Amino acid sequence: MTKSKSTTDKRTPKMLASDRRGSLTASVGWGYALAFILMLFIFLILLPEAEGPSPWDAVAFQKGMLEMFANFRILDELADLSIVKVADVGEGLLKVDLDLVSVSNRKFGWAPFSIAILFVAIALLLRGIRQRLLLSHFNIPPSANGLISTYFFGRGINLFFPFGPGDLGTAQALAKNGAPDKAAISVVYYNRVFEVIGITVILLAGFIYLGWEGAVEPFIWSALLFAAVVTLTRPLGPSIRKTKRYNIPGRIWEAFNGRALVQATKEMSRKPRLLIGLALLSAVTLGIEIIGYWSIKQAFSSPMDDYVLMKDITFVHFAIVIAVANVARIIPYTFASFGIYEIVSVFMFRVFDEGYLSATTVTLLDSILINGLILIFFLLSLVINKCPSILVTWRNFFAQSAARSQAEVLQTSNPGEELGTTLISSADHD
Amino acid sequence: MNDDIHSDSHQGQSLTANPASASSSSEFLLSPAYFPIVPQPAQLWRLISFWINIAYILIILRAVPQIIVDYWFLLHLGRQNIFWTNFTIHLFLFAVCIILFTLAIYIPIRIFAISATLRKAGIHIGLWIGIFAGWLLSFSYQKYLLAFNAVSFGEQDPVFGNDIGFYVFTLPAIRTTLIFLTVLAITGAVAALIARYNQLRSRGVFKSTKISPLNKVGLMITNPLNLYLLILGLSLTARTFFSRYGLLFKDNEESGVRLGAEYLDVEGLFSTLNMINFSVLIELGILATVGITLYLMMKTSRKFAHSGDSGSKDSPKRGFSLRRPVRIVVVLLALDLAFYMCVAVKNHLVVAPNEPTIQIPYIKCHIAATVKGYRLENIKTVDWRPPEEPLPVPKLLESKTVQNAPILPSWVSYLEEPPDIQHFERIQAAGSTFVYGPVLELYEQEQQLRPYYKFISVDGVRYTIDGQKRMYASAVRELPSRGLRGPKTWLRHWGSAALMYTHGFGLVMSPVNQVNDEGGPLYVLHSVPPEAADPMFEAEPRIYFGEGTKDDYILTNIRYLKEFDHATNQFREEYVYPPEVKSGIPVDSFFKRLIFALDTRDITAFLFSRFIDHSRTRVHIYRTPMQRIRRIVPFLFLDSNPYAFIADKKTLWMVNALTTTKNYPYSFREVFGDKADERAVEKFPERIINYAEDSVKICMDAYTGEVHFYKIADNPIVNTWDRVYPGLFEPISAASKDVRAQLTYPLQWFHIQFDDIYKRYHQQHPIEFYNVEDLWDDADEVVGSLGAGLAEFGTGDQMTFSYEGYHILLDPADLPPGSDIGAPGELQFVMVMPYTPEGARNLRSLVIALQDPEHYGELLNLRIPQGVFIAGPEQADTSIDNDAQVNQQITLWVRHGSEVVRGHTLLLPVAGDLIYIEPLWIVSLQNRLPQIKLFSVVYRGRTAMAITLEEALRVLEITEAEEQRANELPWFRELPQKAKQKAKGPPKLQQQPSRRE
Repeated sequence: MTKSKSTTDKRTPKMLASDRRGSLTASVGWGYALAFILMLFIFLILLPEAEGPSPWDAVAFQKGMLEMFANFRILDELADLSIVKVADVGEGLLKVDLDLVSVSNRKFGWAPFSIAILFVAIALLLRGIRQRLLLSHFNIPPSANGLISTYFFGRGINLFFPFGPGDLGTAQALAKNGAPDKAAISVVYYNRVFEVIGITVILLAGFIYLGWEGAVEPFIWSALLFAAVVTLTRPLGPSIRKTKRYNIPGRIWEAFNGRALVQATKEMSRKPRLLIGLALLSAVTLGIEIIGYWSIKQAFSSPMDDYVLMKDITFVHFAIVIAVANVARIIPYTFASFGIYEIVSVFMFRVFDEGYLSATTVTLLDSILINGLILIFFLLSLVINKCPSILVTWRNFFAQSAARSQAEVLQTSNPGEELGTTLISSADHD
Repeated sequence: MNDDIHSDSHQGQSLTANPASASSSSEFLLSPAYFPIVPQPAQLWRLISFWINIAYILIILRAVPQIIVDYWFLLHLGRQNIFWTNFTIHLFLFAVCIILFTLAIYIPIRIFAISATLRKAGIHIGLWIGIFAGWLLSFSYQKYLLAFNAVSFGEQDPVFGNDIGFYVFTLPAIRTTLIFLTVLAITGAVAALIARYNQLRSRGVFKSTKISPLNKVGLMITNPLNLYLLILGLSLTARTFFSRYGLLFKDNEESGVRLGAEYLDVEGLFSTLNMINFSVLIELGILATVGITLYLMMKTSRKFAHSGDSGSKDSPKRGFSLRRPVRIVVVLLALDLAFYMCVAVKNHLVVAPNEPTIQIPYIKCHIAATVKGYRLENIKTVDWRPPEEPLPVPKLLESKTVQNAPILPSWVSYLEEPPDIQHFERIQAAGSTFVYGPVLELYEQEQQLRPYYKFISVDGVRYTIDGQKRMYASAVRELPSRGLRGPKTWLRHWGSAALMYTHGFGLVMSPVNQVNDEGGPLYVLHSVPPEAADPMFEAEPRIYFGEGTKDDYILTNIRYLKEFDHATNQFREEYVYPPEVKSGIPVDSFFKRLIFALDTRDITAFLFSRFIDHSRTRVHIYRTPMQRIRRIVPFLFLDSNPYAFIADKKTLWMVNALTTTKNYPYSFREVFGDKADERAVEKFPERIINYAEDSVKICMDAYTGEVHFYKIADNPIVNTWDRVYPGLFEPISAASKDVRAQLTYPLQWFHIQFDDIYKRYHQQHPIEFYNVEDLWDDADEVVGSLGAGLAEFGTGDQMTFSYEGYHILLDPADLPPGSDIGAPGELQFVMVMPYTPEGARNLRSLVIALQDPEHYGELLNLRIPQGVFIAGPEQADTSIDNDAQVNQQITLWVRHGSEVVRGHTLLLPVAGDLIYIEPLWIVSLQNRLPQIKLFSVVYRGRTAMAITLEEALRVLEITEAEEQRANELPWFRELPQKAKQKAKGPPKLQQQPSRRE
């Protein structure tokens, strides 16, 4: 918010509020632009790995891209389509070295590829089941069909829109399937909390396994990323309350909705078996997802030909990278955290001395795998379940954002007004 | 806010139009306030700017240790002036970028923007973009160093009459500056537009119906915007103006003038050059029109805005009209297009029908510039017509060239990149581009001795002992870096890698013209500790700096622990690096430990290791010759084939360095540095060049890491660098005689000169060149593994590989008359490469580069006259293939589970004639120890084989009939006796009808 307006600003408070609603569109545009910029950064700056001005070095850029296509095993197909030519043979826009084509031609691991799909699909389904278990906790009758698929509706919405409207989408879908509104909201919140618990368990296990020597650097970077998540997600949640500028614990507390978290934990601890069971389920779910990612890395490697993507990385290091990258998914500034997840994952692989090329390749494979499966589940959920319209969900989400933003302005002009009430009222009016 | 948490605080909200009414027994329920929302841009800005700042700080913090380590590194080598020169220019470019970009963005935002967020963002974005632009521009620091210190070439280009130095040194810096100005202007213009938009929006201008759209656009125009557009226009026009010089580097793929200006480009009114000149005028016209238009629009719009008149079409004061300027711009563009059409028509009517005659002066320019650019102007051509009568065998045996034939290859070869398509199957089967290198395998099998040692490559060196010059294969027994130590994890541990196993031990050498009874090398330097056959080979054996030590550092003079020196019969010898030897960077403070910890990322080891003693410990970084030298002189092109030798009782590395440019007018551009030349582990990035010179010989001590740069050429590029970094280069006379005796011609330079350029540019006549009447090709040979069985790699093209230059000791007496490369009997260490005509397989030429100090760099072309047939290497290989006995023997070996490796086909001049010699290697699949089992000799179409070279030569003396009779095993042992009964020599040289390939 703008506390110190310039003297030339002639807008009234009402105009300001109206402008704020309009400027949310700019934020949304920024969400899409950020994904584009981050991916551009990966492809232009990191991938070429050239010595020298890589962003402007067409040769290095081409080489990096072509090598990645070779890793994806599509370079030979591009040659067949005359998009690239091999060693001056045939037609094509770009010339490709023969050894790259031989990489592209290497044996593809269909078995690990199938395992990867299976495991990541299972991991996604387990998250849906976790949500179902949470619904049971809130006494939503198990007879309500399709409650698992509401989870995929939310994830699917997040594939297309920035700032995470999927949570609202899931809650709406649950409500449409018979769940009480507030129970639906709470379930979505709990599901998020357990996701973080799963990540934490995996990370702690990984750090303990690596020991003092090996865990220092990844721990520092993970902590830094954690801090980034805390600060970056703050304005997306119920953060309009003010905390003192340097009250860092207070800010973290607020960012994680501390009071809600404590209340939720108290509530859940009434059923300790459920709490522990869901925490374990979350860790197992993430573990299964990591195995899936590991498998797809292996699928695009050819151990028999002594060509292995990230040959030197251990499974534990790999798991830590994925867990940290999943923390980055919590930052929903872009659609499907596109770009954010990738850049964090590539960066974490670099921390473990993997090259940018293999890091980018594996990261993109992971992204394609999970987002592809989410898309499939999302489409299925649309078919088999009572889901609200995608655009209506987005409009509701945008309207709520605008209402809260407007409430903030109005609160500034009427400081005594109760913020929460104003927010809801405004949303309803919209 | 506790209400948020409790269930009934927000009665009015609902998720759907028809909320469900199912109740929950749970007491804890949340409101939608816990869902994420779309944040306001100001909120986004605060957070993202914070993290971008953090990212910038981290990147800068990451760079700082590197800069400091670079300083210490150059300081300990006594070359801190290089650091300060580079640092100053980097800092200057950074500062310029940061200041200009920050001001360009901040000033318009400061003047116009209303939004507090935008005003704050202005300075931040300016700084970020400035730092990023500074980072990009700093990559061009060498261009500016060259431009500020340029020396004249003393020769002018044929079109504009400028000194060549203008194109090599000045023009690249001008172009980079213009790009920088263009980006600066665009960035500033965008900032001015955003700031003005923000101002007008806050005043409600865009919602006003009183102001016409055109006037709204006009109100967006401001003085800063006009200034930026002026800079943009001028920089673009300047770029067009300077593009005229691009004509000298124009790539004419299908033309006789393969690079440079042609007739159409410079002759007559309607030339490309005049078209560019005309375009400059047109651009200036457009710039003036747009500038005036924008200025008038700005004035008019402001006037209307102040007066409250809409300025719309219905208004009595209509305001500004765009019709006139648009018409002017269209007319100007049409004129430009018309000129272009005239040039195109001229090309069709005047130029194309009169080629190649009309292009002859330009083709001459192109040939002359290319020949000069690749330093081929002084090559001496001698017509080589071998004697009609075959030489008697004793004459062949007497030849010192034959006696010194390098039957053990002192190199390892790979397929060049990209490999030919016919080798695809082979690469897949073999899993690498490796072709041939049995000596490396032999050394690994016989001289590695301990699992932690490794031989990285094999090189050729020569020594004169007792007045007799001989060539030796040489390899360094290195203790490689962690990455090359394979699965031996105990060696990769920090303590072992950085503190204990710090150095390799000794060289291994064997003469290349001799093998023992088993077909292996006869070592003159071997074992640990090294045992030398001659005092000349005695030297400091410890190898702290070698090809295998990439990306790894070591610490010496540590406490509580001594370095492992070498294994002994009892246990092990330990070693302490002598404190009096000045090598390595002292780790004498906690600050240095911190910086090295950050730079190497071995944080805990550097910060907390008790082995580090501030009073004596030193760290040795950049330990491969290539890494170390590149860190000091990144502007030089390094031939990626460093070789080690012994001189002055030291083990030294020699690296050939070249000065290059791609901006020599009219000279053809080639990619410098392909893989076939890289017979070393460390690849040097390729460069596009069209002018180069073998300028600097770099010598590095394998024990201390001390580096010397000996300048051997006097060309403008190396002289300019000499001005940039005074005192960097020493004259070659400063090198000791033993060091000078080991100079070699750069292999990659030889490759580009002869494999890429000379094969075409030896045609000096423009018409011959235009029609490509006598194109040559690097000769092919059958070499390398035939696989475990012949069927594995198949036959034909998959087995033939192009020749690269190879070293031989050549007796000038064996060359045809007129060669004049020295006194007969005085062996010359030369590099040779054969040519065949393109599309044929007979020999066309043999090119020779002399490498001994007295004749260093002299080039000789022994050209077979047109019409004379001499079998080429591939034909010699075919002769060997067609020999029934060899085929039988190979089949037998393969059946017994051995791998057969065809050796390098040596083409040697002998008494004015030439002979082919090829060893045949056998490698057992159980134990990969290559052994020479057979020598083949091909002379005048006759093939002979025996278990020694001498015997094979003697076989040439016997008749074919006797040869048939001698087929019963062991035929190869009996033949020499029969050879004494000389009956019929090899056939006479055949004359072939003249033909043009």
